[in-house]
Amino acid sequence: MRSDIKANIGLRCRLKVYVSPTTGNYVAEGVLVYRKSTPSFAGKTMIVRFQTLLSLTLIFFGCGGGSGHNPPVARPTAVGYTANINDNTVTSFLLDESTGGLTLVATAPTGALPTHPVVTPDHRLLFVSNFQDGTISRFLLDGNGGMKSAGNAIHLLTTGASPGKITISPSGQFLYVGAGSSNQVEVFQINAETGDLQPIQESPFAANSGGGVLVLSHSGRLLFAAGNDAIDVFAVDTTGALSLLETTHADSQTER
Amino acid sequence: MTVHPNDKYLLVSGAGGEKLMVFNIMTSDALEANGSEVVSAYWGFSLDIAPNGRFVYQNDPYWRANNSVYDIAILGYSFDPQTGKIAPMMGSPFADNQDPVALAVSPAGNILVVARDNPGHVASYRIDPQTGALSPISGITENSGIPTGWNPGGIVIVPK
Repeated sequence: MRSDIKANIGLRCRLKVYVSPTTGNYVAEGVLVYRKSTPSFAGKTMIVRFQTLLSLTLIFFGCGGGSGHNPPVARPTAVGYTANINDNTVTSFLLDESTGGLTLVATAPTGALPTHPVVTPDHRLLFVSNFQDGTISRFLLDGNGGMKSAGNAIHLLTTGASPGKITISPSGQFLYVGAGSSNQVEVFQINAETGDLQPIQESPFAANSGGGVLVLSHSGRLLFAAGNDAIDVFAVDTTGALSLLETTHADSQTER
Repeated sequence: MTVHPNDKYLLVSGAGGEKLMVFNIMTSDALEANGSEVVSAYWGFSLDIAPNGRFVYQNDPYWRANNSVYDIAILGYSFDPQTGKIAPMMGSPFADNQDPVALAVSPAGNILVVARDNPGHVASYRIDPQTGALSPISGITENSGIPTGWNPGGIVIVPK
């Protein structure tokens, strides 16, 4: 009777192990793929096909993983962050998309009533809007869920403004903050190395909708701001500045 | 509110009452009501679209406006990227009794991660690649999943 077991070790090998129907021995068949580090083979992929007798213990010690015979090894493919409104914290976690498995990594303090986390396109910076104290918290990211404060939270330009939803340009250069309580959108230039935020010269920009909820088009050419029965459409120029194109009536008090 | 991956549509929750409305983003950059809309969550502050542009998800932490039934759930919608037509997804609403307050589709588009407030934790659902239907994976039972702080009302997920 044949029993198949597959074991993977990332990109390096793929094995099928079974009991030989003729000899009763464990047999491993597979392809071993690896990259040589010597100068003459640098960057080239070597492929070895093999069939041999092996010990199951040796295989699983060397390869890890498996199917039904030992616990799956988590291989996170994504990193997530939550803004915890009533805790004044942000939490990071890892996600293995092949299994849906989640792993808690860290929790860090923010300002008061954090509502929206955003990450720069290079995944090196995290910003969190703090609704109650009108600030933006900043963190340097290590790509594995680690977060390090990038310094004091940045205050919005408008005193008393409560930042709502925030968004980052596809270039990673600009942070847009909906200061809904002041009917304005504030725009900051992002220092990609330090996480520092500096308001661009023309900021803030008036929003007919209130600007409490913001979203950028994927091209980065348009910014939409919603609230107060309306949706504003802004054109975004290369300096991050906004020009109001139109305001569409949306017949509701709670666009989001 | 969110922009469709093809940059042709703006989806706005709450517009026109408790509705999820679709606006066309015209080549002139103006907005035009598409005419397609569905009844949406009463307090559905979180809205996300799968990378394939066909599945839309929204948290529904309190009740649905059309029948006032106490219905804590994740709402799923099917979306036609060619026409902008939106419709309730088969199997929706997907029951979730742990106060879902925020959600995000994973970068690969096969997992929906939900932040919940009873108590604060994160759980995951698998997304059916054909229909978009959700099936629970991790942390769906009470008090499981990974812990967060209290009321994790905002979430973002990026590739590792």
